Amino acid sequence: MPQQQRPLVFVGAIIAAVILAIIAVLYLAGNGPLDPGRHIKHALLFFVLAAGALAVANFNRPGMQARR
Amino acid sequence: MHALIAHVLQLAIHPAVHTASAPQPTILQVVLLALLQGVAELFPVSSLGHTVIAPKLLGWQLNQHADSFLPFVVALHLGTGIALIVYFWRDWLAILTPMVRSVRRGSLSGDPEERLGWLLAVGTIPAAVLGVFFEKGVRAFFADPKVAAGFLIVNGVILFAGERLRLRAGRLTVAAATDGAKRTPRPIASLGWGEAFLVGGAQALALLPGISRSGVTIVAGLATGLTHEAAARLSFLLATPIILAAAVVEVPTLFGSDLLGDAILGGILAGLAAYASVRFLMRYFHSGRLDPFAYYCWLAGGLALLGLALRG
Repeated sequence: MPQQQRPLVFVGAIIAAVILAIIAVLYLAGNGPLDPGRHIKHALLFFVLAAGALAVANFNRPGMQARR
Repeated sequence: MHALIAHVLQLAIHPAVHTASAPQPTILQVVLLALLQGVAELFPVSSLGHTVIAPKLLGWQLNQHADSFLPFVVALHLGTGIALIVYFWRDWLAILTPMVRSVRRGSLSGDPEERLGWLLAVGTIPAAVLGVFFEKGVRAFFADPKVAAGFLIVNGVILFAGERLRLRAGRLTVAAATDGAKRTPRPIASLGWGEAFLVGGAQALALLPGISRSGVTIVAGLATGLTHEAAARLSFLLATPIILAAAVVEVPTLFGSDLLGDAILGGILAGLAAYASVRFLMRYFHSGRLDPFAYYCWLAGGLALLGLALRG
């Protein structure tokens, strides 16, 4: 990952994590964007995806050396 | 995947009408379903296809209307998942430890087991997303045992074609090599992120009853240049989080139901069968190929279609 792109990826991943977490909470509350009703599996999926986005953000923290 | 198995069984045999209480499955049905699940989940022959076709062929009046039927099937998968964890516990320990360190460090090192862990994470995403969003639709369209038998034949074609493509690629590689040069097996950790995403995404094809999850992921692994043994290892490692995640969600509903005892028995039997299966397959794929499984799928699918046609 080129050094100049890391802050962009970091911010994008953080934003994605927040959005995914919000969607997960919506599914838990029964107000999911696609299916009405409470969907535990959908919520779990989106929480996991949010965790994945946080992992991407973690690996692209500004100031960290890029090692691949 | 696990909810799909139970609901497909319901739709295939009887209309989906849920009742609070219903006859329990017999011990024989519990034992056979558990063994079938434990073996067919890991062999590249489609556990979902077999669990759709077999009850219909045998004329079983399963207790698919009971509210606890779904968790019972999930308990079988929990047994399978635990068997995979037990067999690959050293692998998982070697994978997860450096993964945690990489998160703390905030960077990836050159550790192949660490990279394998993140490849598994990437590979799990597409199957999980497609499974959560599309299993209901697939269930509605493909609940017919005859369709499952047809897809079982297609599964055989996938296995056969995958093996042919690998053999062809292997001959081209050997031909291109210099004299005396040996072809080095490609390690799993050398896969790219896109390759891991595609191999993991291939699991989604197993939403179709009759298509084997392990079969398509092994074929996908072979297509990236992995050996049979490495592709099988990757397939079983990819399967574990998917199986366990679904079980975590559904198993709590089992407690308090009238099928708890059957589920525990079934889960143990499925786990034992799965452990024996994975142990056999990891030895088999050291030098074995997918062809015998392709032939089996063609034979089983063809006989199933014939049997279903005769039963009417």
